[in-house]
Amino acid sequence: MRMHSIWALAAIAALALVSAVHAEDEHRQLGAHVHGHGTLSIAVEDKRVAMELEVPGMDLVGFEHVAETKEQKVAIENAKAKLAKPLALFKLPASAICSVSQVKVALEGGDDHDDGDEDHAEHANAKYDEDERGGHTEFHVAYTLDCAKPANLTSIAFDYFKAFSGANELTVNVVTAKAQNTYEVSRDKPALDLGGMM
Amino acid sequence: MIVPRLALQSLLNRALTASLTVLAIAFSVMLLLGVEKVRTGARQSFADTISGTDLIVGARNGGIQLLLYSVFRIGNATNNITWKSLEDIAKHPDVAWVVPLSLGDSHHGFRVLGTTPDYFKHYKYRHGRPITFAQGEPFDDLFDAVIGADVAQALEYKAGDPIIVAHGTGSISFVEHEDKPFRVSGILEKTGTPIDRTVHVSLKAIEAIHVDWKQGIPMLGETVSAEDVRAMSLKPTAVTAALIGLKSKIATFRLQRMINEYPEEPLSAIIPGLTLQELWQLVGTAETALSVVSAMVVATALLGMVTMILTTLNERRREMAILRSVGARPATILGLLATEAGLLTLAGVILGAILLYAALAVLQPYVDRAYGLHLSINPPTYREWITLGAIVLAGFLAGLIPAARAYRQSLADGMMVRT
Repeated sequence: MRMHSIWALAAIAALALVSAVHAEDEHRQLGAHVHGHGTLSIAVEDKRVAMELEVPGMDLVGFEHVAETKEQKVAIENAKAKLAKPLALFKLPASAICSVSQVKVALEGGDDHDDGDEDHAEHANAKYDEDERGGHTEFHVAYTLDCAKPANLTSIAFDYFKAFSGANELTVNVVTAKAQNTYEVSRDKPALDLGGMM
Repeated sequence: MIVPRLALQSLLNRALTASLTVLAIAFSVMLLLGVEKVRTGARQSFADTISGTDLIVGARNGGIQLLLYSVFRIGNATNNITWKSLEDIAKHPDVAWVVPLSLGDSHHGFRVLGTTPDYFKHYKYRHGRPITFAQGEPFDDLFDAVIGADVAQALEYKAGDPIIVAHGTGSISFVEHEDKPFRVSGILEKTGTPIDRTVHVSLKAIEAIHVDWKQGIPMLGETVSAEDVRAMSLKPTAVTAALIGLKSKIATFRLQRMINEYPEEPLSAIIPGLTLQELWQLVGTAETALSVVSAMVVATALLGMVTMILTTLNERRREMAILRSVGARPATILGLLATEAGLLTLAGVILGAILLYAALAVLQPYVDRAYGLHLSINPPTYREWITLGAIVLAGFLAGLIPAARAYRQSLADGMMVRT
């Protein structure tokens, strides 16, 4: 019985393979880039929480070319300022007692390698020019948080959608010592229940 | 309080039909809840196929396909990955262990997996449960094989038996590696995962059986004996995929990105739990279909109850009329019949739940053993309580149909003698 269900599953999966494209970028190859859709990856171990946000420029600033006008430059700076405060975008339970220990904001595919105070060491290989990114800029943000009581990290409220009117969906990947899971949150359902993951 | 008591008495008066109706509702509720349990059980067992592995690495293709061939042994890899790339990954400071997987041969339709003894140490299922041996031990010799529980059962093997591995993955193969027979060194306990249907050999053994093979067929006159093979260096040059464990979960996404961007070879790394979830979403439609079917069964049972009450209504014309004549208002009659229906449904729901838990308690070990499906015995979830409440409410509302009919019948109608 189990065998049959697995074969049926395989047939369905084969059909769906086309859509299962990896959203990663590589040498002269472009990752998936879907406007309105970003990815938030969260890894938790002990009291350390690592989060990575990858989201198209369209979602956060409304354009995906190199900022030309003054307004566009201001828009990028505003977006970066908002991204630098993860706890305001991704509201964690107060009882988890989390604090931000590191934030790295990068804009890939744009003219974003000028802020001296931000550490771009990890993105050294990400200095694509606009053509290489297919003309689409992408925000790439890495956060490191420290939570005194990570067991209380049972939910996330996504004020992110309130902060960025162009963002519609976010795939949330969560890896903890206990489990690995993936969720979808959206403008209509901006909350995530992580019960059982911690 | 007279109405519920009256309703109960009236039901007791028709104990046989009433109890049959209750039974019909009970079975339908049992089915509805049971489907829910099987659904969550299947989902859980599926998600529990692999645990403790942080990343699976394979040639670059869709994550689901990589998961299917590396974990479920379904389909084949489009490309192998080179041993050198794997060594590079193993050297990464965040990597705790690497277990290579080499697929492509079969034994009577069961896949043969070439791997290292670490596989038995690191492969975990169902929340970190390790693989255990029912008989024997991990492979030690070049021509040792460890077989899964289903393989042992289907082919009636026991530890120490010789087996011959066939080239390719069909169940009937015309080219067999018969010059190099294997010995069953161990048999694994049933896990309910694809491991049960796998023959495990060492990576070197996979190399060894292909030493004198060129272009998929053995070269005539160039056979290398099993003894000579032992003397050869059997370092693999390529494997199909690899399981990777990390020192810290924090590094998971970082290493995944690194492997996906590995410049020397197009590789992809997946996080098994995430991809399992994606895969499950594909079969989600079937889940919905199951739920719809069992909801229909409940609707049918409720319809049967309404029919039962409606048919007895004719016999009860006089009863209703007497009630009316002693001062019961039409509204009381309405309430009486609706309450009867509500009580029937409530009894059915309670009985159904009891039956389900009794069945679960009895069948759970068997289902786990036979199908590897772990059905958890939990109190009803919030959603199930809502469903049960909705069924009782629906039964009560359905009871309003015959009730409305009785309501409309006049006092005189019931008093008249019909011929």
